[in-house]
Amino acid sequence: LQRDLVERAARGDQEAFEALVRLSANRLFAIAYRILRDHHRAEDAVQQTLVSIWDELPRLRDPDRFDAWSYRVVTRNSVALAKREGRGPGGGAIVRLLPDDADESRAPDDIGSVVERDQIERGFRRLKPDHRAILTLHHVAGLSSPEIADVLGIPAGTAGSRLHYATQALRAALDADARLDTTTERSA
Amino acid sequence: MTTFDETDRRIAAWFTDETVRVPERTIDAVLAHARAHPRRRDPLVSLRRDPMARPFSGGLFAPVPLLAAIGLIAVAVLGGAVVGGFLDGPAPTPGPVPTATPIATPSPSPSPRTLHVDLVEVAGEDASIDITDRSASLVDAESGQPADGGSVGGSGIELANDPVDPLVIVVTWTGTPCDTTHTLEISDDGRTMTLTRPRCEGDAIPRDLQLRLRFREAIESSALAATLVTE
Repeated sequence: LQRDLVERAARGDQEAFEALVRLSANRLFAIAYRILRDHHRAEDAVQQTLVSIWDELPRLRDPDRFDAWSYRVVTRNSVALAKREGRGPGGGAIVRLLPDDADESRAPDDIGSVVERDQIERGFRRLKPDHRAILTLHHVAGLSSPEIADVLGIPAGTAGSRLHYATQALRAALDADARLDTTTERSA
Repeated sequence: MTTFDETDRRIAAWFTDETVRVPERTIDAVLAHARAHPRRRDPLVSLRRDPMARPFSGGLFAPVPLLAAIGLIAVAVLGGAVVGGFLDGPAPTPGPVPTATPIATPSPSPSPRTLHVDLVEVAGEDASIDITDRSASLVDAESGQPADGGSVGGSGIELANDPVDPLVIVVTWTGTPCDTTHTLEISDDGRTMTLTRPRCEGDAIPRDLQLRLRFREAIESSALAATLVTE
């Protein structure tokens, strides 16, 4: 079905293009949002991506490569936007999701997961945009290292090492955050 | 104590436990763009670079560009033969004396076009480049995908034709991980490029950066000169 839509859209069929957009927009938005951590900027990245896809679709020789190509375009746009508009995605301070008056003894699982999400969020925001992109393609799009290499047009070894470094960097950020929390608790 | 497996599980769960949906207004804007820019027939589409083409995957000798090139050459030869009377047999009778064609007056040189490109880097600081094109021959520019480490010796900058797309010149230069903002100036005649990089006194590990410049017409990299300047 998608192959047919891609071929028709490449020939200029607007209905096919709309169907293709509706089929892929949420997937592309999920990638852009994870990299940028900001709804508005993710909207910009996806809009830019889909406009490029309309303009350049006739140049795509193999319709079966559409998904990989759309991932490539949205990733490049999101990373470029993240780099252009500041080192940290979302820019400002990280919001602490746990309310100040939360009673941690009452719902440990729920509160624990909120704290955990908050920690990962902070760690993720500290990563470079390229590393955020690699982790997002791996976890959100479910791509392996060779598939990431294909999407980004980089050697497989480079994709593998970037994924490794990005994962290590996120783990290190989480560990640092956990150590900071422990120190704060002791001093309190 | 948190184990590695548990940390990985937490990270994986964090990535997938949030559902986001693209707003309808974004889709509307894209569809409006498509309606405002209906597809026009592009006879040269088979010569244009496939956005997912792998470097060195056949280049100009790949089937589609090769067939298209042969087709164009055939059309050119046939057109030349018809115009020259080659197919008419007897020698053509002399026609009227051609009148002098008007000489085109040079148009004022266009104001230089500027482009900003965020560069892909394997390691080190985020890097970008601001391009000033005085020749009006540059169509667009994007980052290339540099390999790890530094590969350019001598002058530190290298120009090459893209093996797939004859309109693209690939500029590769070796700097250091702390190089951030760069500029590139393309001269009026489109033949000379000056790339300026910041003077960086930090990490001395070499790092390649790469830029892909797409021109209006095919150009041989050997006909171009590039200089790398450190400010």
